[in-house]
Formats: sequence, C-alpha cells, structure tokens
Amino acid sequence: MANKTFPHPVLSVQEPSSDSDYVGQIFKADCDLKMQSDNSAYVNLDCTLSEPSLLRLIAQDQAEYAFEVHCRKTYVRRFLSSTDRKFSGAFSKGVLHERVEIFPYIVCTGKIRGHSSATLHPEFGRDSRFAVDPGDVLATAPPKVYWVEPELAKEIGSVFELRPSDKIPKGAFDIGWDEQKVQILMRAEDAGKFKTLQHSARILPSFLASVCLIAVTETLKTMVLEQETHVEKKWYQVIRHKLDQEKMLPLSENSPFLKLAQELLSFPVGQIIADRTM
Amino acid sequence: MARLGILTQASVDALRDNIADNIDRYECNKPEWEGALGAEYKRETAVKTNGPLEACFASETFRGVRKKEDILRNEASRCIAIYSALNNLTPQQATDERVWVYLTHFVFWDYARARWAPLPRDRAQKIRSIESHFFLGKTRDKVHSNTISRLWWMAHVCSRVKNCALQRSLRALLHTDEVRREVMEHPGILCSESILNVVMKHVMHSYESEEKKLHARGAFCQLVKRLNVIGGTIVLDSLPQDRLESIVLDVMDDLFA
Repeated sequence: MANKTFPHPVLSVQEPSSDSDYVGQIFKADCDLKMQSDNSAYVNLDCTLSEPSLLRLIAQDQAEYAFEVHCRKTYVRRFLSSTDRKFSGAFSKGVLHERVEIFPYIVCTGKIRGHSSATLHPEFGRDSRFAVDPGDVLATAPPKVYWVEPELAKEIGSVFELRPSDKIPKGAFDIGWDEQKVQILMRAEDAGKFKTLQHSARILPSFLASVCLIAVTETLKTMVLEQETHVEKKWYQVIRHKLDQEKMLPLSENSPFLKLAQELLSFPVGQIIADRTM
Repeated sequence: MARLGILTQASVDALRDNIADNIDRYECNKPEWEGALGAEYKRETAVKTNGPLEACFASETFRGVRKKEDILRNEASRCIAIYSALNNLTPQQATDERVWVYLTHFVFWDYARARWAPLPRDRAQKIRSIESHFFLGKTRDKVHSNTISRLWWMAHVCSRVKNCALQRSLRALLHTDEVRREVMEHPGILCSESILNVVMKHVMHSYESEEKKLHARGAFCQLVKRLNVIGGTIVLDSLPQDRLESIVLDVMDDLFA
C-alpha cells in the first residue's frame, strides 16, 4: 500500500509533518514477530495514533487498526484487525517460513459520507469532506520484514558458509554477505582442506577463534554500518534474533563488537585453553 | 506408525551437483541411487505418515500412469492421496527440498519417470527438466514444479476452500494449466483465504458448466489481474464475504460482457 495515490486523505507518517495529509499527526505501528519453542508464532501490533477524527472513527466502530501478514513460501496471507490499538495474531506451528512481511494499516469498516478533519492539509481545500467505504485505507505505517526458520533459535552458524573463491590469495580469507549467508571466502584448495579440518573436535576451537571470530566481528559491524542494505536478509534476521535472545541489542557504532562476537561464539580462546589443559 | 524419511542435505547436494553425470539414470528403470550416494544417504524424521508411503505408491492412482491422457485423469486423486499420506507435514516442512527429492528419487521413482516422459532430447533442456521435476528447481524453492511436492501443495491450497469436497476444488483447479499456474506459481492475492474461497467458488462453477467461461484462455488471468488492481487501493481481505462476492461478480460481468 506504500506510494499509492488515494482519492481521500491517508495518514502515513510516523513523525509530525507539515506535509502530511493530516498536518502534524502521526500513525505509528510497532510490530513484532515472536517465535515460540514449538515453532508457532505470534505477531503483536502496538499502534500510536494522534489524529482526532480517525480516533473517533475507531471509537465508533467505523474503522479498525489492522495488519496483513504475508508469507509467500507457505502461501499465507492473513488479515487481522481490532479496535484495540494493541492486539496479536497467532500462527500455528510451521505455518510461517522464511520471509514474512507485516503491513500495518488503519482500515475503514463503515460507509462514511462527509469524513472531514480539522487537521487536513490546506491543499485539500477548506472544509473538505470525503466519502470513504469499507476496505478503504485511512492510515499506513512502514511494513516490517522478518525471517522465520526452525533453526532460528539455534546457533548462528547456520547462516555462515565456507565458499571457494579464486580471487582470494592462497592461505588468506575474506568475508562476504549475500541474501542468505555470511560467506567465508577462501581459495578452492584451502576451502576443501578447511572443510575437513573444521569438523575435527581438536581443531574446532582454533577454527572458531580465528576465522569465525573475525567473521562474526565483521558481520556485527556491517549490521550497524550497512543496516539499510542488509536488514531484510536472512543472515541479518537470524543474527539479530540471537542478539535479542542474548540481550545484546541494540547495536550501535560504539558497540564492543569483538567482545560481543566472543560471547556469541562462547569464548573460543577459552575453549582452546581448556582443551590444552585437560 | 510409519515415519517420513528424508535425504541428508549432503545427498541432495550430491544428486544435484551430478545431474549431468547421472543424466542417463533419469531415463532408467532402476537407477540404483543408493549405490551412488553411499550408506548414510537418508534419515528418518519425527513426522508420522498416514501409512507407509510405499503403499500409497502401490495404489492404482500412481501405478496407472502410463500415457499422457492418464496423467490428468487422476491428478486430483493423486493430490488427495499424497496429502492424506503426509497429513502431518507442516507447510514449513513441506518447503524442505530433502523431503521431495527423496520421495521423487526413491518411493515414487516410477511415477516421476512416467509423469514427465519423454524427457527433452536437448541436453540442456533435459537437465532443466530434471532440476524442475526431480528437485525444486534451480532456486531450490519451486514446490509447484517437483513431481510430488506439487501434488501436496495443490491439495494444501485447495483444502482451504470451505464447504466443498477436496476432489471438487482440485478438479476445477487442474482443468487448465492456466488456472493451476496462476493459483500455484504466483502466490499473491489468492493466498488470502477469503479471496480464494470467493474466486474458487466461481472456478468450480465454471468447471461444472457447459461454457467453462473462467477456464477459457486468458479469462482467469484477467480476473486475477483486475482483482490485484482493485486490491491496490482497497484492503480486500478486510471485506465481508458478500461484498467480496459482489466485487468478483462485477469483474466477471465486465470480462464476459
């Protein structure tokens, strides 16, 4: 519903603005998707609305707060609504998978003739009145994207992969990020040998302390510095979920990335030392 | 109680990486995949099946596919058979490539071969066909194209159509490739249960009528296209069923005027 031209005013700003269809008014929708241990999910919506005429419509049961949940992978598109500004929707286990988009609105539920507001932008004309019908959008908030998968609650290793690249000099490695994975890039012959070695219980702590620790540190920095580029990617959502679980959010430019990376990897240097002293 | 087996990811990757080398096996009655994959090529999951899947395959519904004309005749029944046998699968599990690559290469091998025979002669096209029908396509997520997953997913989508037998909605969906493709390959507005119910009611009516208007070439695509345009400014999902019905009827009246 973003970037559409509606024949009636639509409130679509989260901060007061003189350019908005309703001057100085806001509609904010904090939405959140929480996975449960049994792989069911709850989507929670918490709305803030300041515009008096829209608040009145909701109080008169002529409009509702609403959100749509879209998940293409599992052919899901569900609409939920309420006159309460805070409400939730439940999804049975296994119904949502991978990319989930949430679209918050305020939607008209009554046939209204002569809708008007004292806060309307002057460009609509003095004393303007509008006809709005059931299904018409009265306010929108930016959609949110989440990534859902059964491994979400497990180790972040599921979104890291070793990938051969001939651009990398022998004995070196680099880090890359695509839609799904954080890539540890190595020359093909190095990657082949590393794949075998990393599964060795003896070598694993050293592998974590070297390659993985650097990869996780660089990835945390990238999550802050290039958030807009990567926020909707699978690896971003999985790592963010882990950070949320470990109460390490929010991240900022001043976050102690190396310290956080060591915590996420359960202190790999400590594992090496423990291994040597057993 | 039988449990669903799946391939290991390593086995799926090995089969996928070696399609070109194994191309002759895909036209062979006994491909002997176990030998190619090694001892630990599969594992059992916790998902219970409604009876052993081998029994499902052994039924005439699957074994009866010999000619092209046999394929469409019982497609709806095959959808129901697979959906019933795998009725404990969640949609999330049903997107897992390991499930469908296992079922296509092992349990339902003879059916999969018969379903798409003959494979294209051109080697590149043959490989694409194998990727599409024996795996989940190049992007590993085309559940509508794999031989067995497509049956499950069509039944799953049609199971949302209320107050009608699954066989009825499936037959209407499968009558033309255009309707099936629009519903299954372009998940959009028809993922909404309320909109799907209204639209499928008319699709079933069309199938059961002499004229089959909505099954005429281009008709169903036009209907969905117009609903998408309307849905761009109105939240169709918020509307009561009778209002949705009225919108769909208006679009159809205009289309067939």
